[in-house]
Amino acid sequence: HMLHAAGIGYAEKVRKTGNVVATYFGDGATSEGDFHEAMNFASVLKSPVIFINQNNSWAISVPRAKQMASETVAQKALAYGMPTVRVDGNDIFAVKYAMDEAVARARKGDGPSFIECVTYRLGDHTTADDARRYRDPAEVEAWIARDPLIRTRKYLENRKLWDQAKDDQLQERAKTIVKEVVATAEGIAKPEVRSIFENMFADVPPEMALQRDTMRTSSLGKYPDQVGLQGEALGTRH
Amino acid sequence: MATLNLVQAINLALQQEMAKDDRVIILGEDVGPNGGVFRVTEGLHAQFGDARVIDTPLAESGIIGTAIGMAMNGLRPVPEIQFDGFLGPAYDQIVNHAARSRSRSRGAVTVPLTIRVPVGGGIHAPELHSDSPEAIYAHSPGIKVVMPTTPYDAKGLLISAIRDPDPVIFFEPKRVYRSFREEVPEDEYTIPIGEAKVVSEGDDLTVVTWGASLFQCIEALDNAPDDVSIELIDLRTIDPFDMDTVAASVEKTGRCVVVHEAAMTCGLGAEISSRVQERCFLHLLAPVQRVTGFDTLMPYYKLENEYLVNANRVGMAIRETLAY
Repeated sequence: HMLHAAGIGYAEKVRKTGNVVATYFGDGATSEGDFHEAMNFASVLKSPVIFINQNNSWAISVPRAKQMASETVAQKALAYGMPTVRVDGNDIFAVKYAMDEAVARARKGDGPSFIECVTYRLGDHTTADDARRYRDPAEVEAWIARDPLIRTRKYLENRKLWDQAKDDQLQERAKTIVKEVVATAEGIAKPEVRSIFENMFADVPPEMALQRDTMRTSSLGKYPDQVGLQGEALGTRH
Repeated sequence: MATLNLVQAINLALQQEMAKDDRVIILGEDVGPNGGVFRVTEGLHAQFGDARVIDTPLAESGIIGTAIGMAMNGLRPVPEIQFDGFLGPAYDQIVNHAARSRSRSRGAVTVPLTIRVPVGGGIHAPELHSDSPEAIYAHSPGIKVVMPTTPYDAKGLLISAIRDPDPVIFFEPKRVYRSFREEVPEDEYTIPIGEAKVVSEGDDLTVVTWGASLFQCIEALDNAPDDVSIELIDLRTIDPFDMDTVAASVEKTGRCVVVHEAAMTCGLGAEISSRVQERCFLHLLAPVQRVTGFDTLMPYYKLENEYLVNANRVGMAIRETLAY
């Protein structure tokens, strides 16, 4: 999708909206050819794009050192002639500062910028992943101590802008929201079977409509008079 | 004899070929200490080390392009592409380079390469993780396409693929990975690329299939009336496929149903159906029927089972073809 960002940004430029595009990607993604093509296209087209690399050190089980031999991700942007910066990705103020600068540049028509945010994947890659198989628990512990939420909270508490009561309130609110969202998600009905055939094209082509209407039959579209989705929808079974 | 599942049988074949031939190199995303996302390469990094089991950067075009170079220069790379849909970025390297090098160089530069790819739906994965692209590569000249379904076949076919002098895509039906076990000899054996297997013999109708749909076909055969005798063929190799076995069977039975998980239009069922009418026209008692996926993307998991070919649809096709 990084190439799409170059195109989306160019469209904003053509339409003179003043909007800026932000594209987010991991350290592993910077190995794909698309990444390099996107940075080249965005800088050549002076597309208002901010490339934001969330360098969390792990692409599933592959550590950064096996992903790239370059010392930083940020330096890759140098080759494409765009301003680039490497920030502590767990410091929200550093990230905001870098973003403000990049947004201002893009708005001025100075083209894309690159921000490498150094962070860490605290959890597993997916529910099927078990990160204990390939990384040192001590490394994870060290990064938990740098958790941006904990850091920001401590900062705010030191400035007397936050306290336990406010935090309890926030936790309660978060729990309520999560409960509501889960309840809503669980309440969503199973999608209609016919939706399989929708959104393939703006209109459902006749051949696809035939497949839809005969999907429960043996050979698709061969015996349209047989029981299919049409029959079910009408409540009539042959 | 050990009883192994598909993952274990493939792992055993890789382990034995690597032990026997130090030109065999594994490369891919997470194939090293993690043993691959499906654990197919489990233990191989520990046994053979960093130089022969390579955790690569995350770039499918890079994995295949680099493997092509290794193969051109005397190695026997066995790259893993993590999921079927991830073949997309590598398509250019496979079709425009691996598949053409022999012809382009008049045989001087060959690419003995085996690309392992988990394939197909049925594991509730997101998009790009459930595709069946075998016909795309069968349609591309210069590359062999294999899709074993049973642990025994997988071991023998993988060894053949690794030793093959030309590029092979080795599709592994991921729905079958841990779904059943069978006896797999510890000793080395090969199954030739291009040979189908008659799973069960019969006289009245031929069912041709491959990949995970084999099990829906077996279920349909189990549900068929006792007085009907059906021959079931597992193609095992998609390209070059074993038309002789299919034709011999259809000439005997006079009826043919082709079953595949992939979308219908331009799927391999169309090719088989066309060849059957070319070779067996005067033996046919009914038109060849295809039971296939729809010409849509694989839906998300709540509708996944609506997409996948089931025994009910196969059973209908069998009954209709018999009654024609």
